Amino acid sequence: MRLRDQLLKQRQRSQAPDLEQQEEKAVDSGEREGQTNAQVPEADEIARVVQSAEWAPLDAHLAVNACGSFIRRRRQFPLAHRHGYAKLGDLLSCADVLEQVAVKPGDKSKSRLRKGAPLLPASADEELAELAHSSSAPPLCERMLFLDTETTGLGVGTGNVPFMIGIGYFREQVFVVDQMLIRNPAEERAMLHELKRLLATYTHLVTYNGRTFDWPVVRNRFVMHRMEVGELDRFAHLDFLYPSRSLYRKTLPSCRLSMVEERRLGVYRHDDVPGSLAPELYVKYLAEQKPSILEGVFHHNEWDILTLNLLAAHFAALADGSASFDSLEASEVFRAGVWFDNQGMHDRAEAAYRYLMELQPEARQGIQYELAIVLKKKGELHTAVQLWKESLQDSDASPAAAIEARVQLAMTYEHRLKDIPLALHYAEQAKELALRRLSLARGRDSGKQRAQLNEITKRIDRLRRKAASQDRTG
Amino acid sequence: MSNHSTRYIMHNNLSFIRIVHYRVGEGMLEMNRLTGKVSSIQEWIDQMKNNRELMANVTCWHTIPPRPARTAPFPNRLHAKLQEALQQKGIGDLYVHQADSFEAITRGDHVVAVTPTASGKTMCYNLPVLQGVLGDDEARALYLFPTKALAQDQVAELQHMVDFMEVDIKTHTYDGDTPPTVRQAIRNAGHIVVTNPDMLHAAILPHHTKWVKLFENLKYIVIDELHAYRGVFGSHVANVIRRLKRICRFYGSAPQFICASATIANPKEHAERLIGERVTLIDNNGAPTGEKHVVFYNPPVVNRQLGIRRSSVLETKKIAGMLLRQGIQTIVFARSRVRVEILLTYLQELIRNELGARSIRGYRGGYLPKQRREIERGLRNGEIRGVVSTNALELGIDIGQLQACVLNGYPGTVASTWQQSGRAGRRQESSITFMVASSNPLDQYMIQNPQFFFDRPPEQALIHPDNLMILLDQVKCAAYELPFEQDEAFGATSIIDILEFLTEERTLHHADGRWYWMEQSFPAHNVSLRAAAQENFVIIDMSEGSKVIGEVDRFSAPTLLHEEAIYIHEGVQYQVEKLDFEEKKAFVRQVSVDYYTDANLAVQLKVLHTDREETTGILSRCFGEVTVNAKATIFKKIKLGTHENIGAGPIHLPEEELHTTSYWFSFDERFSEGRSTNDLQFALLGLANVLVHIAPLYLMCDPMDIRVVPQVKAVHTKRPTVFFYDRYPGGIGLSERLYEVHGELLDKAIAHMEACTCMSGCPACVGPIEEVGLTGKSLAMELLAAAKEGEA
Repeated sequence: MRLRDQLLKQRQRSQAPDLEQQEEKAVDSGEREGQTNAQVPEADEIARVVQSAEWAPLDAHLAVNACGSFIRRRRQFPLAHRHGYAKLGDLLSCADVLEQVAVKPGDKSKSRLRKGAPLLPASADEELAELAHSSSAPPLCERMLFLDTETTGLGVGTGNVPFMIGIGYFREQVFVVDQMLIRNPAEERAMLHELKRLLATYTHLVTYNGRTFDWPVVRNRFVMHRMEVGELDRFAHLDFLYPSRSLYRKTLPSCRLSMVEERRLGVYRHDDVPGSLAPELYVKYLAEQKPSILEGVFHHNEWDILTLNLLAAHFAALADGSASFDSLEASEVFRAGVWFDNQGMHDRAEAAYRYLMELQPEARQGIQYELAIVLKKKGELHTAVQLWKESLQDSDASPAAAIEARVQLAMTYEHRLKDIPLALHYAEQAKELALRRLSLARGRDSGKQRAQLNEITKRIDRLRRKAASQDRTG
Repeated sequence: MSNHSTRYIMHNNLSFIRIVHYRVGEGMLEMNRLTGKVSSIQEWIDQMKNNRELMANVTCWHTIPPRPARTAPFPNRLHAKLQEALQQKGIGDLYVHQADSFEAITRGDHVVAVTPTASGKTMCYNLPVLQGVLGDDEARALYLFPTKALAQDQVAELQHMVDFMEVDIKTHTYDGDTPPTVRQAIRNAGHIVVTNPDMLHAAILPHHTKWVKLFENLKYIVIDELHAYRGVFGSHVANVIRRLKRICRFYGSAPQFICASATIANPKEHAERLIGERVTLIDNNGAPTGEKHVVFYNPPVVNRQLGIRRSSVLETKKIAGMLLRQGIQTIVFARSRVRVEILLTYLQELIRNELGARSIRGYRGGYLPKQRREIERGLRNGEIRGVVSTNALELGIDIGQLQACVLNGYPGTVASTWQQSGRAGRRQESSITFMVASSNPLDQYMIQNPQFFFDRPPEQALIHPDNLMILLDQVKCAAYELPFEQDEAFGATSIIDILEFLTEERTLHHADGRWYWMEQSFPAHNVSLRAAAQENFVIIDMSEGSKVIGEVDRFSAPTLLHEEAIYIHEGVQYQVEKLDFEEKKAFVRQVSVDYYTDANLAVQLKVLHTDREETTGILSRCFGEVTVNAKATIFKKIKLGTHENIGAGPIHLPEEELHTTSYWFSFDERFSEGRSTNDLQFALLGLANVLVHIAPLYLMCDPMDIRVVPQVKAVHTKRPTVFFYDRYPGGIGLSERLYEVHGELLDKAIAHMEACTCMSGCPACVGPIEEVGLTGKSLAMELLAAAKEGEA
């Protein structure tokens, strides 16, 4: 952990009352009162622990709050705990960079941003970064809540019930995995109540497909119990399904969490109960009421949460540059570049492309184009233009690439470098190529190509008008 | 209909003379000498009455006198903004039915308004709903229409009113076409959400947690085209409404229902059954209508020996052509898509010089939504002078009022006939409807016995929401949406046994006095409200690039889109070059040929196994499973203009299979002995026709939900057999119920035939003589008597 972070943490602790420590006490007292505890706790109070012989073999106990009871298993892992290639504490040193890739509430489109789409204004990023490091907020890693649910069905309809909600968080020198289970649907209210209480100190949810699945499902349950949902909507999301897809879509057979962890994080599960079996096991448990039926589900869910921790560290290290690109396949580096670019992390995108160009000089043409786009965004226009021009020398370039590069040159000369004749020169070359491509396509999927040709023609018309007016004034 | 004047003209031995005087030349205006065009429709009608050639084929000329408007002043409580907006639109008062429904809704009643086409029906619900939203910005309304097209129409009309008022009332359609990007905004902020029951069933209710704002504040539920919700479809919709009400209760709202229906025999009863509430009936139509003429026209006999009449298509073309040439805005209804296109082709050709082909358009399912909107607009503003349509335009899509209507064939029901005819008729002028009979027996009966049609009330709409199979499916969907409480009722019935059954099946889990959904599946996806799958084949024109020009439902695809078929779209011919059955795509190319194609569909019914069986005397009845296979076999090429058969070809496509439940009864040799196959055929057919009328009343279903098939020699027993089967994959309990009430059913059939005043058969009992022969009725009676004898 960086010294600065440690200091920040210290300061934070000395200022704010530590909720987690309070909770610890409640747990302790609950344990002591365990057997005799008959009084119902008041609303908003921390759930009391009641030991249960039935659940003890699973390392789980009964939790009781104002709304009823449910089952909880809480396990703590030291930061040095190895999981795959890495340790659970690795994230602490690099988590802050993740602020830049988090999807904030109301910012629905970020993960779907296409290349070239407008980015978050730099100032907003800076503000957030500042906020993250200001004395008023704890460091990001302390505000991250890792979450994974096991549900009775598929989809986000109102009949799909998360019968187990697992969460993970850093506390002191440990990583805690807290799993809540309902023994039947009537216990749900108590579990949600406890979850709501736990959420208070966190700002970021770390999930795998949680932004469109787990969290909406949990939100549904709050509505079904007519509980306030505003609290749930304020979370920023770090859903690592999206970056995993961005990087590994082409190189892994699937982007399931178990696939990514095995092939890229070195995590091998033994005797894992696949998540897809969880609903069946739960129905079986409901019928037979034997806790042992769910042992595998507890284990699977815990494993997922530990992997989420690792995955966050993996992407954080790539994003802040502390991990080298050597750990990725070449095509993944390229895709990482595209991802960085989409996230507005132009420096990292540039680094990825430059790394690749050095690694594979023979394939540099395709990369040149993307790198130039990034450089243009960074304002390094001349280098960008240089790269596009270089790419024109490549005789093997696809017709599409040849046209795109010329269009980019025309755009840059027109709007940024204000050289109308040169812009016109490249636009006309692009048009000629586009026409040739269209006639060779002979009507096959020509819609897009025709649209592009129209764009180019419009550009040429505009450039001619500009050139003419320049002639007049000049 | 005592105030109508009717004139029956002797046409052949079967009909009779009853001439009632009619007015000639009243208000007649001079024809324009230069163009030869009439100056009003009244003038055209008067001319027609003197047209001997035409009148020779008219079997009935029925005149309904004009009716003046009955109006009421704006109710005092009507919001000032609404009053202003109406006045700006040139509306100074309300029709009495609009005022009455406003009052009833203000009182807090649930309402069903029944008024004919073009009587300002939408105002019956738009006014109170807009009033409600103007008074409370949080108030929400949900509109349900049976189709997407109607929903879009409605939003346009509402938006129009809202624009006039210059207020911020958000109205949106929410259906499969709604872009995902605006869905959230609609869920949170739409004041009036316009959708269809299928969407409500599969997308809104199972996701009600996303619609909190709507359900907490839902004040009005508008259900238009109520008559469309009948039979199995209606029974499902009634349950969807039960679910909707459940969700509203959960969020603390108790919305008011405002329903509107076309004329049916039992609107109040139907509405009450559908929404499960007492309703106030509003049926005092105050809208004015001009004089209306309904003319029955039978094409002339062209071959006396064989009794063959001239094609009804060609006669329809002739009459529609006469109307269109005179500039009279006309709608033509045809019973099939192919007929629509053939008629369109003829009419476009006929008046090309006068009007230009674009002013005559086709309209049917399968045209793309954009094209349909354009046609509707053109009809409203008068640019389009003629339209040829299937019953797609029978529902309330706004196309304004036309002047004349030509029906190519009897539409099949009294209600449909009046609905279609209602498309013609402007307030201040006369209108005319021609019904051109085809040669099918029902048409011929109607045309020769017009009083049968005019004396008959429109059909009833029947539903049976507590059909066990439907209820079971719907209870699953409801349990998915909210757990069931211990004493909770669903509709009028207790469903405790269904809940217990589902608990045993491990679909539900019982805990703490509640039943919770506990299965992985999403039940609404496995429950379709309608029989027909909504899958479509798209038609891609390859003539120039590739362009989607239309779509066809899955069941019509084998007969309309087989390879080499001529597919006609908006009067343009295309030949199908390739049909990709798997991918549901047909690739066509524009052609110009002088024929169209017509495919034969061979239907086969096979018994898979018999679950229940009972024999009494000569009759044995069974219940079991059957498959019904439909296979397109060959197609014929038919010459345009003459309708000669000029060629044929095979069709190689997989057959469609319906696996369903069936009830059948057969007679043993003792009955067949000594009777000719022909007589047996007529007896069975007659009996089947009677049962078609009676069975839906028992089952509270629509006649379309159950099929009756008589077979003189059934494949598996070799005996004369009558089959009933559910027209739903897997069956929906209709046939099984019939098996159980078999005895009663036959008794009712006998009573029905005896009570019918016809001599030897009519469409109300065994069917028209043209279908079952002169002895059909007595043979059917004999058959039933023999069956009962065995029982005794």
